Amino acid sequence: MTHSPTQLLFRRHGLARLIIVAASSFALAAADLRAQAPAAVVQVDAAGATCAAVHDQLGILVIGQKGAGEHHLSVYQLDPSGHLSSSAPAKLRLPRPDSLGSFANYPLSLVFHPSLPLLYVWQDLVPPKAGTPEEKTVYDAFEHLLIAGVTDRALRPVGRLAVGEQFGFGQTVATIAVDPAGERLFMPNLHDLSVDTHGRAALGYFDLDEQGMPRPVSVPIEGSLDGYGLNKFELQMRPATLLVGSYQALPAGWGFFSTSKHVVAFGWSHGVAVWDTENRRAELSAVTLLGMAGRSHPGQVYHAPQCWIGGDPRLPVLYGVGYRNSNVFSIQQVDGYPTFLPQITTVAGARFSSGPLVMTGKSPRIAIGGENCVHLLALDADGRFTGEAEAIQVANPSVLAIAHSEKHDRLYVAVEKAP
Amino acid sequence: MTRHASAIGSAARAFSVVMLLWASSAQGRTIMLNATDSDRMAGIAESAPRQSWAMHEYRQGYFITTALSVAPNHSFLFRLALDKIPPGHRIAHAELILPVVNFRGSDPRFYLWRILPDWGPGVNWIHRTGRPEKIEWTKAGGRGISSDRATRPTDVVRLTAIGEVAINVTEDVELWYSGAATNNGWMITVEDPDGFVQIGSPVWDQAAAWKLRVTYEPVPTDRQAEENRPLSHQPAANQAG
Repeated sequence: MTHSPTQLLFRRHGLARLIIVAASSFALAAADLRAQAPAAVVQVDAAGATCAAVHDQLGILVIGQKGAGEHHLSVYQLDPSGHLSSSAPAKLRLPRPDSLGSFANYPLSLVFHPSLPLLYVWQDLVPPKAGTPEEKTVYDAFEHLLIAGVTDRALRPVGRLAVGEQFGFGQTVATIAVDPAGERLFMPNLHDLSVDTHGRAALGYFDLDEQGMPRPVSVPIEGSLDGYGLNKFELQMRPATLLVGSYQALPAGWGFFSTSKHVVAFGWSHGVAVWDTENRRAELSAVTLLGMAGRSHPGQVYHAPQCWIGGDPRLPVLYGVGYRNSNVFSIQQVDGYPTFLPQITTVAGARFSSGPLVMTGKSPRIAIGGENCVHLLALDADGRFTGEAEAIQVANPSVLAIAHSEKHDRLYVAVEKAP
Repeated sequence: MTRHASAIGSAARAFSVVMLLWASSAQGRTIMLNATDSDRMAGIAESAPRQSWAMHEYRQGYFITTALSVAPNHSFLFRLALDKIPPGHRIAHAELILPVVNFRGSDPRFYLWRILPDWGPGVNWIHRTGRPEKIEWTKAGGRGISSDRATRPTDVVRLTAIGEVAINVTEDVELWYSGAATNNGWMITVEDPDGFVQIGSPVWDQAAAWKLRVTYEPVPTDRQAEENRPLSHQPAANQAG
């Protein structure tokens, strides 16, 4: 099998000193799509895939699917070399209140705990109309966060939570993330109920205990003021939140990046923002990049992209992808805070449909889902783009679910029909 | 005959001087840099001590980069690379032009300072670099006189109207270009307690409005310098023709 390199069109954006690697044409990139998938890319038959996660030590690959019939998760066992086991994947269905029978639920994000055998699943559902009894049922009983333990390569439910008016629904994009120490779980698509307009977008987190389970927090009981003007408190499973709705509506939570539980970066319109959970005087700092706007195809109008971010805390940079766009950026980070000017790159002919996934290994790259392909962009030792890229053809018009095994240096790509 | 020869000699000298001036001006050039030529920028604020991009506080605790505000305890750092100026020249004139879009205060003004030490990724209110190891400013916010910033400001710019503000930075650019000092860029500060200045964002739609206009010219050789001396200083023999 062969795959030919595609050269990037490095635009000289105003904020960065970029190199024109080649005046590569759209036709060049399109021709490269004919390349066959290399052995390191494993296409996995999983129609309607929305998310994926692989765990090298546990030896499993989990793919979340939407509209795939009766199941929502497919759990594949991996052999010692990282190949899919010959046995059929286990199929699992996610829970939903019975009264919401006509409103299909679906997974949107999967993430493993960094040190415990736990898988966190974020689910959403087709939205009922506002003001209906079904909407009330969603707020009262639909659990967005599901936690599964992993034993003998099988999932078993151990927790269900994230219920209430704080949690938005009806979204098609969401990511969850756990900080590298496994102490905090960051969540998307929340409503900040403290502001006057119901429905303003927010992000949130639960602190995790030693078993990886969310910790309840002490909340004042409404109407419980005593004679001294003090509230009584009770423990509730309520997330800490950051309002982002002044700037972007739901969906909120286009990728997270954290080097510690205190600071988390997240995708932002035209760039990346940071939530400093320790500093109330400067909770949010957004870096908006004019150069991230652009057209993905000739003739397409310019548009302001929502950026989907990602990274590896071991690298001194993080990455952002313009959703449905052909632009990608890297920006240095120190302690999780973006710093200095970005490197912005245009991948000719691309139309990205996933966030960036860092593939560490002998030849570090980032992988980004696209239209019937996965784009692989080479990185140097400092995590910056080298200018080399590949477009690997796969059978999926909008690649969204990708996962990388560092141990085997394999990229698993969910496709509609594996070759 | 002598008078005629003298006239020819004078004309020849005048011609040579004109040619020298022409040649000199032909080799001297003016270039215009803007914020797209910057290789380092940072917004630092006392209230966001770990942030590198605290540029404009849109609402309390929320910083964005689509605008730039400078106020007490909130400064902006930037460096423009000068490598577009070829070696072997001297700086005749350099002017920094900034697009001021708003200001207030009893005596509205901002300060432009040369930054003295190197600063790197992770720069913030506390640290001048965060990698490969954290190094603090001598005084938080880079306010150490003669250690973090120059002993005297390059200029104190008083504001009376919004619009372009031009600052003579010839001395700074000559210092950097000649190698007499390392180009670690400038810092913009507001020192007055009630001061506030807003400048078009150099990382958003005002990048081209941040301009550094540099005029440079060849360094004259000894012979050119001799020939360029005023005619009244020419040797008498030449005058005699």
